[in-house]
Amino acid sequence: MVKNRSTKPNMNMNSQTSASGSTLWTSTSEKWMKLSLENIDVETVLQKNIAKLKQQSPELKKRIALFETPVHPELLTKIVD
Amino acid sequence: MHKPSPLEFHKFQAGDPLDQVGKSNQLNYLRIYLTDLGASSILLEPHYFDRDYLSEFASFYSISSRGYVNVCKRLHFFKGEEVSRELFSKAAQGDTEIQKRLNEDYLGFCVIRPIPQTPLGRTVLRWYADKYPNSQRIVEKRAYECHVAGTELTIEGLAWQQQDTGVGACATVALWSALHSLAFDEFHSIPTTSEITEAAHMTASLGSRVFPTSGLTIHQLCEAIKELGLAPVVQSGEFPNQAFSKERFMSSVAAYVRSGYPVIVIGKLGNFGLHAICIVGFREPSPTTSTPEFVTLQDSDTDIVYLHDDNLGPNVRSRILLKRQSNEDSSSYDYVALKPEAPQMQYSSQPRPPDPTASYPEFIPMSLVVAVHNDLRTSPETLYKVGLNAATKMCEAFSMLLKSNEQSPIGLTLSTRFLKLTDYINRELERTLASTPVILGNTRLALWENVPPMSLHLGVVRIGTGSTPLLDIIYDTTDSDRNHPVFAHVLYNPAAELIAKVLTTNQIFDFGIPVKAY
Repeated sequence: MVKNRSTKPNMNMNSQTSASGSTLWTSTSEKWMKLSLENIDVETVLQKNIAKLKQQSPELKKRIALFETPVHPELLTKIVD
Repeated sequence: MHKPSPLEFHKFQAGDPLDQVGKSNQLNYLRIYLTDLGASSILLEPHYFDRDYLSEFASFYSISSRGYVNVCKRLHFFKGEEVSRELFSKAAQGDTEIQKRLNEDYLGFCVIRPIPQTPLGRTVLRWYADKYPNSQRIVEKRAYECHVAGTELTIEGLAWQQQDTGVGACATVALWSALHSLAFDEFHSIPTTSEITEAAHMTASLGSRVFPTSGLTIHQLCEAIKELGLAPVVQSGEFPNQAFSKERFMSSVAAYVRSGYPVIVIGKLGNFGLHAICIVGFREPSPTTSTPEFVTLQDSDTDIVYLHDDNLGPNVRSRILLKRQSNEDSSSYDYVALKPEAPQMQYSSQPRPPDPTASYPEFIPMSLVVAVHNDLRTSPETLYKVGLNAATKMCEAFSMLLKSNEQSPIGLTLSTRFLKLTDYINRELERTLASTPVILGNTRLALWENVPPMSLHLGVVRIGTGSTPLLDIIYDTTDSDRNHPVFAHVLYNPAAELIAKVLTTNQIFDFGIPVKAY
């Protein structure tokens, strides 16, 4: 059983414009997510759906394939301009 | 023989030393950029020995019958109150208040080489103020220190220069800019353009002469990176014309830039053939509401990148356009093109020369070339693939749980980057857990004591909802993409912990050793 968090971690906004800044990585404005899993038996529910979780959906396969494209650069073409 | 010359102090206006350099798109760009930064004064150093130009001189210009000199000029730009000889004299006397003011007003410098056709050497200019804190500008930059008569002037940016075609073409200067990244400081000194060109020809001359350079191939770029002690990574667009989808292009570019690696982009420039530029930053998209039951790649909605283009100048703001290509079978795809655009004019009272970005053709990226550390063997594509897999499984699990309780499902956000182990443990965890020092300490100790020895560079996959992180998955970067071992996962949320446990136990996904950070 999961209890709601009573506090949220401090996600300090990094005001510097450095390469380390990023919303997901250093956010402060977002309210701490309320995942209301209080009355849920997480393990039981997930175990019931384990077969479904083991499948890789066509949509996920398609998205992963986006990052599997082989590299075929025109290695011998000069970049001159 | 060189003769002594006094420093010169000028107003930033028509006829000033920048104006006297000549006429070119790059000079127009610099004039507009500096005007919009509020430039008011120029300090001219009439004699400046520039390391890059001296290297070019030794390699090429010294034996030209034209009689090139080996010394450059350097222009320093300031905003605010006019910088006069009297004011600068006080700084030279050690007046710390004046020195502080000069640094506050300092906008950067530009080395003027004694090469008439391509005079613009190493140039570093201040970034525009970032006015949009909700969609930060993520840029790679370092501090450059200039010393003029005992006064130290510091500017943050990444160096740009015009290609001279004697020792460097566009690909050479793009790589030169990229290698200025702070990420390489620990192991590598910054090579000059002539050192890069020589390195490119060391084992891949391919029949062409070294100097004057007529351009490099991607193969030679990669060879130069290897010769300089780094590892080249090449990615190409996935479409038949080698162009990129926005999701693939921005995910890769953002992952590299966030990791401290500027990205050299090879592509087609209008009807002019292949060209190389260096992406040094991007403006991250505004936080979006997650689409329920969908994993959003955090950077895929980015609309603006910042790049160094030797045809234009440094920090060129470029908009990402989507161009449609229709196939014969009536299918179609949208590919990325970059179009420079000048920022909105801020100082309308100042006259501006013609904006060179207005007529600049679109640039279609076809390949990315990135110099990374040798021991970083994981590609960002692999991180995205495992991240997508993990985030999708977590998203499905959350949805199942919430739906079972008649609640609305959620969507998740995914972001990846490479970080040094010390940066992750020290800075990243501190930023995330600053308000809970006990948890911060426990997390750091757990990573140090409960996880097998970790690599110098980590591949970090962060999964969150909206802008709130749920967990980080930490990968070894010293193995092959096929093996891709996972070290640990840092949990910021108890629900994520339970789901990760079930997914691990059932061999659906390997999250590594759990480390509680809540």
